[in-house]
Amino acid sequence: MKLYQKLIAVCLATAAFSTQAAQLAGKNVLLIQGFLPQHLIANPSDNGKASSDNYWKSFDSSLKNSGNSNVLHYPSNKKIEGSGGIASIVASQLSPILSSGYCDNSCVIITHSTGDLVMRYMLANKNSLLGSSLANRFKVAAIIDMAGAGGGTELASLGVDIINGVNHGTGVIEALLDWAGFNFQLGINPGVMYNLQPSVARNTATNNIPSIPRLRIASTGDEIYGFVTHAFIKGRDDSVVPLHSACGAIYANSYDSCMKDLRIDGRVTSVGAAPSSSQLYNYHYPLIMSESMPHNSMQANHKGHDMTFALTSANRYNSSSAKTINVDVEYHHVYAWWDWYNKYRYITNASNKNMGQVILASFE
Amino acid sequence: MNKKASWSLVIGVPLLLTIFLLNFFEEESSPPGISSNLTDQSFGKSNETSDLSLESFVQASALENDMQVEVMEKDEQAPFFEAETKARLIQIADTFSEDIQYPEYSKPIRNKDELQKYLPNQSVASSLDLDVKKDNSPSISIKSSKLQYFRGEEIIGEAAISNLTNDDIVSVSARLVTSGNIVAETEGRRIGASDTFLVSFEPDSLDVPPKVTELRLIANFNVEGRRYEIGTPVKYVNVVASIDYVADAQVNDTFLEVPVYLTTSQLGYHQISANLYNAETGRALVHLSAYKDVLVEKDFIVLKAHIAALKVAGHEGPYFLDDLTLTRMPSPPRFITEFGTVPDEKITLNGYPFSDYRDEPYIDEQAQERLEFLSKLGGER
Repeated sequence: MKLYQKLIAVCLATAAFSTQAAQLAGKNVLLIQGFLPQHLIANPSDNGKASSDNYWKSFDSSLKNSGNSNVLHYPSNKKIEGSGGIASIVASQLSPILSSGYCDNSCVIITHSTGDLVMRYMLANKNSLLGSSLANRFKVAAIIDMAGAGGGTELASLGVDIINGVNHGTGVIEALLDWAGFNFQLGINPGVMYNLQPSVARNTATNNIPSIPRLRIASTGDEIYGFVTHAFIKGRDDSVVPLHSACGAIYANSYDSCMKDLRIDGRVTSVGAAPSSSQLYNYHYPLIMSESMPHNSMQANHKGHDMTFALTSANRYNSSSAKTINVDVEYHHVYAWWDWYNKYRYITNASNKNMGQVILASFE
Repeated sequence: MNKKASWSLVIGVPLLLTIFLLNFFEEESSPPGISSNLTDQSFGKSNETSDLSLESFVQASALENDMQVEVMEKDEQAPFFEAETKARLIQIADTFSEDIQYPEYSKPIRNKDELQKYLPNQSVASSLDLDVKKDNSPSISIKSSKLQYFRGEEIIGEAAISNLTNDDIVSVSARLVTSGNIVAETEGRRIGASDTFLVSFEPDSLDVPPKVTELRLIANFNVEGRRYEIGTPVKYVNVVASIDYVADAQVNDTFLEVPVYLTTSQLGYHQISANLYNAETGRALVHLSAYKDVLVEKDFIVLKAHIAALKVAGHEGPYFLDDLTLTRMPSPPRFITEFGTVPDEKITLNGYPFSDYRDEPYIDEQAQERLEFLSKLGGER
């Protein structure tokens, strides 16, 4: 590309990203989506752009630039690696964004589901993927991972099994059909589902990652198909992604919560099946949990889901120097009359908001 | 959560009091100032310390009629009404400030869980309950000894079945496939008297096309004539680089520096990682990693252990390096991660007294900015 062409491209990109950039707490926002199973049987002609726009259609508009110019897209029928793969497609979108200075003052990235895995890969390899010049401009203040699939999901393993001719029973086949909307068959391209197998995901850029706080939002709600998929996912899950992944746990274990002293429904009590703080990947911190929010409600305009803030060791917090903001945790407790007056911890009125609004209320 | 327990309203005050007292003693050391009179729409106050009592519960019922007024009053008193997440954000900021005391490339290992993070090339078992409707259903699983193998290596896995209710006769076979096509088959060998079977594929038995790097190890369980299957991914890759040797460790400023020499056939960014161990006790101390744009076939990358991380470990040496990895990082136009071979044996390293280092805290400017951002997020509105 000639010099003047490059200059024009940068000018256009600068114009596109400098007007009314979506911001969260004063930082420009990037969004990256999750896995779209339908791409496995219908190769999108636009690298998934239209699907991605539709994906975020009902997400809070204040977190999207006009024309969705801050929405990174990819086709799910590609794997992360390889020529023409997701990493190359996302890198080609990041290049003009970063050249425009969009992240010079640090961005906040919001991921959903597989977007967690893709962005972890991009950031861990940003120098080799983007070159040091652009990599230095890829400054990220924090990442909000909604239903993060960075630890993989057992559904993906079962799907890749069938594609490779594994003879699973009707229960597995029906679960995958209900989840994906089509029958998995021998020989179809697994796309990014290959990367979503726990064994593969947990060997993808989990170490040596940049010190960017990854704020995890995890849930255990029911999609319409949840009644068939829950049975094949380890521990509790949001119908697609298990808590071991959404919490950011280093073990692919059966978990009931992200916190040892807080149930996912907000009940303040000891939880045996939960990762300890040293059992989380580096810089991964559970932030919000919801018992009732299903996987694809995170990025949608769905309300009606109670949420809890994943504060741990509240007693220690209340008496520590960390309590610098005069948030008295006890003030935000509920003694539930419907549950023997046990102590619950809620984000007030979260059920009147969608997830985007809760993020905004929490960060602004 | 079940809210339909309206019966609680008619049980009576004495029972409520009993329940409360039981609950009170169950709670883990409740802090002073426990709030009362709460529903999911209104909050009690803690700064006006009042022990929970029968009176407070009666008041709670009475206050429901005045809920709207109550919410408004409490909103004024609670600056984080509807934004309680800020309490967690400030706690995260506190934890993050501890985490960034050490470089990303020199992280202390304090316990076996933290070591688990840094053990490379681990496979995760795939498992499946044979009857998901039953508790304690028989379950099958398959796990390879690692995820990524080099061409020419033996591929090994363990297939297991659990929760069999009687003396069912079980046999196991296994196959390696790529895109559904079989490249090798084998029979499983039971390990002792257990229900675990070893499956292995000698390199000579593998017929893997040169460009294929993704295989699937599939175990087939025959239980009293009924067949069940489960698979797990395996990567089967070429060697593109190798670690030639590791030079002596030297103290340089705040770091213990370990030069690692390598040869590569694919120039570009390479990354090396390893764990530093106490040579006397074998305890893991520090995880190290480093990357560099390698521009010549023979080059070196320096692993650096920061004094702050070494002091957490509290050991001045001698050390050994283990769990090494060498990867060529993905880059245009192929966008693939490639792998290099590392020494099989542990590498002994000299240590130095901590007094030989410049003892200064590690500060990462960008991480500090992120910390300030987190702190600001949790800040008062």
